[in-house]
Amino acid sequence: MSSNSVELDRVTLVFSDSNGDPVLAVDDVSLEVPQGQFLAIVGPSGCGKTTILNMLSGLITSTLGDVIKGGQLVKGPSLDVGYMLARSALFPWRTARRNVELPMEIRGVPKAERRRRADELLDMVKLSDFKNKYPSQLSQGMRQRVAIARTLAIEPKLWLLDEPFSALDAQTRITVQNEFLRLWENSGSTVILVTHDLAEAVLLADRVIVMTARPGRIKLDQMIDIPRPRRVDDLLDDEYFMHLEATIWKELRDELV
Amino acid sequence: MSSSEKKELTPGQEIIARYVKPTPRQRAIKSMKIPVQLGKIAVIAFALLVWHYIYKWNVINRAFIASPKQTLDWFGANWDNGEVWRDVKVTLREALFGWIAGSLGGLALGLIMARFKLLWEVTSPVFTFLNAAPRTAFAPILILIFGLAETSKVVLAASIVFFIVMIPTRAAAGMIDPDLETVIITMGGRERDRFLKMILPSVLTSVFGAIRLASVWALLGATFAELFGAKYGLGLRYIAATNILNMSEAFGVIFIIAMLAILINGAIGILESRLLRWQSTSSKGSVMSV
Repeated sequence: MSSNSVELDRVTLVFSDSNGDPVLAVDDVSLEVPQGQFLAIVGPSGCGKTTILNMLSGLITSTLGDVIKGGQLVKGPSLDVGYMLARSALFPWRTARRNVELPMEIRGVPKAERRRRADELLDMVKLSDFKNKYPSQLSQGMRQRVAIARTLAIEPKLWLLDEPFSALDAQTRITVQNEFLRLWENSGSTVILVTHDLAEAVLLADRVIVMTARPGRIKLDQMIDIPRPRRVDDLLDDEYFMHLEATIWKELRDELV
Repeated sequence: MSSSEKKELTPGQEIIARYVKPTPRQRAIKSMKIPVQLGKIAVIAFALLVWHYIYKWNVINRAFIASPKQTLDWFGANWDNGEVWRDVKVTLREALFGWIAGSLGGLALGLIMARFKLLWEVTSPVFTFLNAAPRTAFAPILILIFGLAETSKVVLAASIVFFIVMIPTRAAAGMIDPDLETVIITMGGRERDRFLKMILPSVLTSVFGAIRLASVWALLGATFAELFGAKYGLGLRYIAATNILNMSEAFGVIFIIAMLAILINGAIGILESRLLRWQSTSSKGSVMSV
């Protein structure tokens, strides 16, 4: 198995809620994501999407079943996974540049090299003019682009995206989505995007999985054969895209609302 | 933009075109907010006047207070008095050491308690008791234990500062943005990275206000302990003056302490706004009316 594929083998996760009562969050889910695939997991709140990401990132351990990354059991956080959240989670006391430097600091990259690389990455997300600004001085969209640059600094083989575009307004979202696609396409890294926006999933991903409400099970697993490179704004009125989205939506109406 | 342009201006463009940029001098004068400054002076003058008449009309027994004039005269007579300066130095030193020791101790223990929650749960009754106990009342005991010299004052100041800093430190360390936590862990951050790059900066920001407040309390704690016995210090000078009804000196010392507190608070405030520059949000404009 290649180094950045991902596999869930009959994974179950039971957590205990604030009363100590057991809750079945993920119920016997199996899933294989080959290297370089962009998978979107769609489902209502509480279907265990984020829990799956947390297991893949090594933040939590499955109750039953194996979580496998690159042919090896996931035992804890590893350095080649990039995690992005709905809120940019930038460190407010660090400038944009120092935020991008953070993962490199943790890895012990020398200061000059770190700085050079951070500037390069901020340039890639078109924020060169804002590198000395603090997060409070940046717009939502800019912050999320800084977060992309910070994740790129990890050179992730696996991207775990937990609704990273959901907090953005409609126009900014399209820009940031395009930005992400541009940087990711041809990188060969695997992406798992969690979202409850079906259109976003179809626009961005190679494959869409729809999960049921709690306990999370896979309800539908569909390949999206829209060719790459994609541009989100071009696809929005594309007939094939609209047809695909409508078809999936009809099948899932009951689960998604 | 020149008005010779043929193009018709919209009403809004006209306002912009007619606007005359103030000179730096005009801007500087405006930023001084002269009416506000005059208002402040008026309020201070009024307060001095009230004070003056309280003394003059004997509203409070004149033997127990000094007039503004007497206080000012005391400053005039003593501004180069080496003994007063020595007392200022002693009290400041006690407050400074107490502040530093109490802050460091409060920070350290607050962080430890946040890290080891079980330890906090088990020991919290003791801390709750010590925090509730009137610590200033320990001053005479501390003097018995640590002697008349500066150590006893440092200990009292530190014990007050400690709780002012420790309680919010523990709370702040427990309320760090979970998203930051997720990000730093998935980046492969170890305990040390989490502490140095996330917990410490985050906590320091939250408790900076408490540390600043504690500096004034350190000064008060040191002075208060001196009232009960000291070799030198402003508190000793104050109690000695009141004992012989030398009220102009007593009032002078109160003013010195107040001014020291203002100075310390201001200095830390400047440091704070430097360090917390990243919190600044752009100031809002206002609607222009014609």
